[in-house]
Amino acid sequence: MNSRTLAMAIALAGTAALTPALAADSIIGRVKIATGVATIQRGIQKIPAAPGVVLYKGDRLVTGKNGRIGVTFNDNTRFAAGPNSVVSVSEFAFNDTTRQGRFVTNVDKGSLAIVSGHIAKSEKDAMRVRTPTALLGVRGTRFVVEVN
Amino acid sequence: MRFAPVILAAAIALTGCASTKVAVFDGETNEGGTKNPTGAVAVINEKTGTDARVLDQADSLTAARKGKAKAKRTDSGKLQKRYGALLASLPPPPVHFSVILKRDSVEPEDPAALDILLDLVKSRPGADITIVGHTDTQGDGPYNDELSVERARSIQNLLVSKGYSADIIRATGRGERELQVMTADNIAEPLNRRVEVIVR
Repeated sequence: MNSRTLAMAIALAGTAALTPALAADSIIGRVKIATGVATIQRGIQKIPAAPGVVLYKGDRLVTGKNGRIGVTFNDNTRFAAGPNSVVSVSEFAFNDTTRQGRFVTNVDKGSLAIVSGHIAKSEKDAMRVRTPTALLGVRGTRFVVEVN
Repeated sequence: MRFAPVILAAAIALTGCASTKVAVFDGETNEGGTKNPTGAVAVINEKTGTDARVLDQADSLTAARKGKAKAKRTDSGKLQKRYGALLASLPPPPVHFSVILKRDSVEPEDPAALDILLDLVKSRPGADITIVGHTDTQGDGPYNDELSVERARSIQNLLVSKGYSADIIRATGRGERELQVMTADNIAEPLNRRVEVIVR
């Protein structure tokens, strides 16, 4: 391989590392409801939230003044992010066969309604919510977390 | 000395005037009329790793900060006013139904069993379908794990052939973990040979 081909190969490899292929089985949930200014942030990508948009671990839900995003996850957990919110899923792992998993959500600001699903039931504190001032273990079904 | 108040204000801002509030609600009522359990959230003290408080009273509002919880006076009316619109923008609960399969084949016993999917998917923006295969207790665990996934995949293929997009369908299996009819090990039971279809 001559030096130019080598340089190109290295550049391509670098690009591939920056944008790894996202397989269908890394989908963790889907947007079902989106109104107003509502975006999914994935790395440097900004994807308008709309019904059917898929979500991956690490995604951040960002809403503006009138924005709302409703999401259903693979374990049946449902979210509703309210206006002026920043919510990210830092961890999501769900085994469909055993129904066990791990789910960590960060609410940096704004409001998030949650109806929990299988992961919260699988093990104590398998599902947690983190805010700038609190760590919450999810033990039951329907609640709201507001950070301001 | 002139800069001190500015620095102090900045320090306060940095250490976070952010407050966390948790509102707990009644569980949703299912279509059948049964009620789901009330929300319950534990405020965890990170230093000790234990629960500072478990919040499990419906229509309660609590301020949580650094492993401490403080109840706030409120009522269901106030909470509805503050969070009603938010709760209303939760997606609808997933719907699920069982489809019994023909013996020795991977087709539904009732050919019309999957017809209701059409309206369900049409009425749910961004709908997705998960098919969960199940088996009876004949055969060992690992064998049934594989068989249950195969069953789910067959129904997935059937749906794709009917025009559903493969992109929105997932096939999984739970082996013999979830018997519809409880039996001893190694018992053939047609009612356990089924798939569960979940529409989100």
